Amino acid sequence: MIEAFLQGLMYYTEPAAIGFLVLGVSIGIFVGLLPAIGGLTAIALVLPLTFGLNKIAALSLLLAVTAISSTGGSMTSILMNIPGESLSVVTMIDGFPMTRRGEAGRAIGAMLMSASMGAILGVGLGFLMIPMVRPIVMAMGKPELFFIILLGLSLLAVLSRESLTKGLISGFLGVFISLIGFQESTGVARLTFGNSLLLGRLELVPVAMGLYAGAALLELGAVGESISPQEMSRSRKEIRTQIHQGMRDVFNHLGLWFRSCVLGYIVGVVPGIGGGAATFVSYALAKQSSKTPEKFGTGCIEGIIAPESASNAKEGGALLTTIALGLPGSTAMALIIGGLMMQGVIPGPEMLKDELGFCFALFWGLALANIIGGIMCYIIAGYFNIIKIVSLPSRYLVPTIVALVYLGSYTTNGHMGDIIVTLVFTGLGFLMKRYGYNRAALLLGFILGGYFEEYFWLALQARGAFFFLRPGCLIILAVMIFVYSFEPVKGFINRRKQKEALS
Amino acid sequence: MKGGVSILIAIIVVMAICLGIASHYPYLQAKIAPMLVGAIVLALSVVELARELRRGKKEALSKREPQKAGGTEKFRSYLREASWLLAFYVLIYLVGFITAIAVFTAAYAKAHQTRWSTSIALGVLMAGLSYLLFSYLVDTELYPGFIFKHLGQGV
Repeated sequence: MIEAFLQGLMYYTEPAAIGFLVLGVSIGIFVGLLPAIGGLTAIALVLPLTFGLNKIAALSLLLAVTAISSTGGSMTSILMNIPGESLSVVTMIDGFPMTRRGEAGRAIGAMLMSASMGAILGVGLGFLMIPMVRPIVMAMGKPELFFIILLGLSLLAVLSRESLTKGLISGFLGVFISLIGFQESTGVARLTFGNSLLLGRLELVPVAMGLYAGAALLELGAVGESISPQEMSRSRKEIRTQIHQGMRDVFNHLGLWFRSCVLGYIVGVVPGIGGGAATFVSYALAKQSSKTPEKFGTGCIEGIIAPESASNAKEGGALLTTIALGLPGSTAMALIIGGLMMQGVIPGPEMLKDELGFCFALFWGLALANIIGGIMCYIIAGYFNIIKIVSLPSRYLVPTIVALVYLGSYTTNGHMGDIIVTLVFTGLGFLMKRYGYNRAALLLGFILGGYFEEYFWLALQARGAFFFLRPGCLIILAVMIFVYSFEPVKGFINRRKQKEALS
Repeated sequence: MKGGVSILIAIIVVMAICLGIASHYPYLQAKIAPMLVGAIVLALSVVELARELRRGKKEALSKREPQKAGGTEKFRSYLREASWLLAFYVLIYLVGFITAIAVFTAAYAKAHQTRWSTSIALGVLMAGLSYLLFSYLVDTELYPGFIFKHLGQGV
C-alpha cells in the first residue's frame, strides 16, 4: 500500500505532469471566473485535448480543471454576487455582504485557505478510506438516500433567520419549482401551463443568478453607489494584509473547517447527492453550531469557511467512489470516467487491484492542483488587485454585471428563455429579501428537488409505504428530530436559566 | 405587513391551483410529488398567514406604523432599474448579444451622468470583451437577434 502511495507521487516528478496541472489550473480559474460557464463546460472543452496525451498528463489536466473552477467561481461570488459556478452559490450569502463592508480581501483569504486545505483533507480521507468505502456505499439503499435528502431539507429550518415557517415555505417552494417541466419516466408535462419554455426543467444557474445577482443589481442601481467604496483607497499591501487575516480566520475556526470537510467528503462519496447539497448543508450546520447564528447572512466569516471547505473536500470523496466503484460521485466525475476510458483505463474495483499506484496518483494530482490553484488565486487577488473592481461606481458596474449575468444565464442552455427565468427570479429574489423569506433555503430545495422525488418514488416502489422503518432510515430520522428540536430545547433551557437567575 | 400578507395569499392561490392541476395527472408517479410538496407549502403558508394576521391586529391595536419617508422615491428607483433590465432583454432579443451589450452599456452609463466619450468607450469595451470571451475563446454561439437573424447576418 505504502509503495503504491509513493509510486503515485513519483508520477508528479515529471515536469510535463506538473505543467499540465498548471495549465488545467489556469483554465479552471479563468472559466470559473466567467459566470455560469462552470467546471463541467471547462472539462468538456479540454476533454478532446487529452487524446494525444499520456494517461497521467491527460488526467492531471482534467482533475486540475475540475478542482479549481469552483475556486475561481467563488471569487466572483464574493466580489460581485455572481456565482461563477453552481457550487459557489452559498459563498455569496456571506461573501458579498463582507465585500460591501470593505472586507473583500478577508473573505477571499478565508475562501482560498479553507478551499485548499479542504481539498487536501478530502484527498487525505480518500487515501485512508480506499479499503473501507465499498461496503458503506453498497449499504445505502434508495430509502436511506431519500432520508438523507430529507435531512438536508430539514436543515432549511436552521438556515432561516426570521421564521422557521418562512424557511420551510421557501425550501419546499424550491422543491416544488424543481418539479416543473417534462417528467421523462411518465411523459407528463407538469405545471407547464402549455408553455414550451417550462417543458425542460429549470436550470440552477439562471435561478441562482436571478435570486441573488439580479436582486442585488436592482438594489445597487437604485442606491447608486459602488459595491464597496472603501476598496478604492486600499493599497495592495493592505489587501494582502486582509487576505492573510482571512487565512488566519480559518485556523481560528479549525473545528468548523474540519466538520465541514468531513461532511463534504461524505456527500462526495455517496453517488447521486451532488456537491451543491454539501455546501448548503455544511452552511446550515455551521449556523446551527455557531454562538452567533444571527450574524449568518450579514457577512460572517464562518459562512464562507463552511461551504468552501465542504465544496472542495467533496472532490476527494467523489474521486474515491469514481475510482473504487466506477460510480461517478458527480457529473464532473462522470466526465473524468470518460477521460479515463479514453486512456484505456476502466474505473472500478479492478482498477484498484491492478493500478493502485495510478489511483493514488489521481489523488496526488487533485491535492497538488488545489495547492497550485490556491497560490495562483492568491497572486491574482493580492498582487493583481482584482478586488479593486468592487470600488468602481455603479454606473459602470451595473451594466457590466447585468451583461455578464445575462450571458451566463444564456450560455447554460443556449436559450433566450433562460434570461426570462433569471428576470422572473430577480423579482422573486427581491420580494423574498424584502419580506424575510430565505433565498438560500429555496435554492437548496431547488437543488435537492429532483433527488427528493426520484428517491421517494424508488423507495416506495422497492420497499412499500413502510420503507422508513429500515434501521438506516430510523437513524437519519433521529438526527432530523434532533435538528428540529435543538433550537427550541436550547431556547427553553436558556429561558429557564434566566428565570432561575431572576428568582 | 400588507405586502407580506399579499405574498402569502398569492402563494396559497397558486398552490391551490397547482394542486388541482396535479391531481388530474394520469400516473401516480407524476402526481405524487407535486401533490405532497404542494400540500406542505399550502399548509405552511396558511399557518404563516394566520400568524401574520394576528401580528397585524396586535400592531394595529398598539400603534399605527409611521409611513417611511422617501419610500415612494425608493420604489420608483427600483422600478427604474427593473425597466433597464427588461429593456436590455428586449434589446438582446432584437439585435443580439454583442450589439445589445454595446448599446445598453453605453446608454446606461450616459443616463447616469457619464460623459459621452466614456460611455461609448465602455460600451465598445464590454461588447469586445464579451465577444472575445464567450464567442471566440469559449466558442459559444450567442443569440444573433431577431432582426439580424431575419436579415441573415448574425452579429
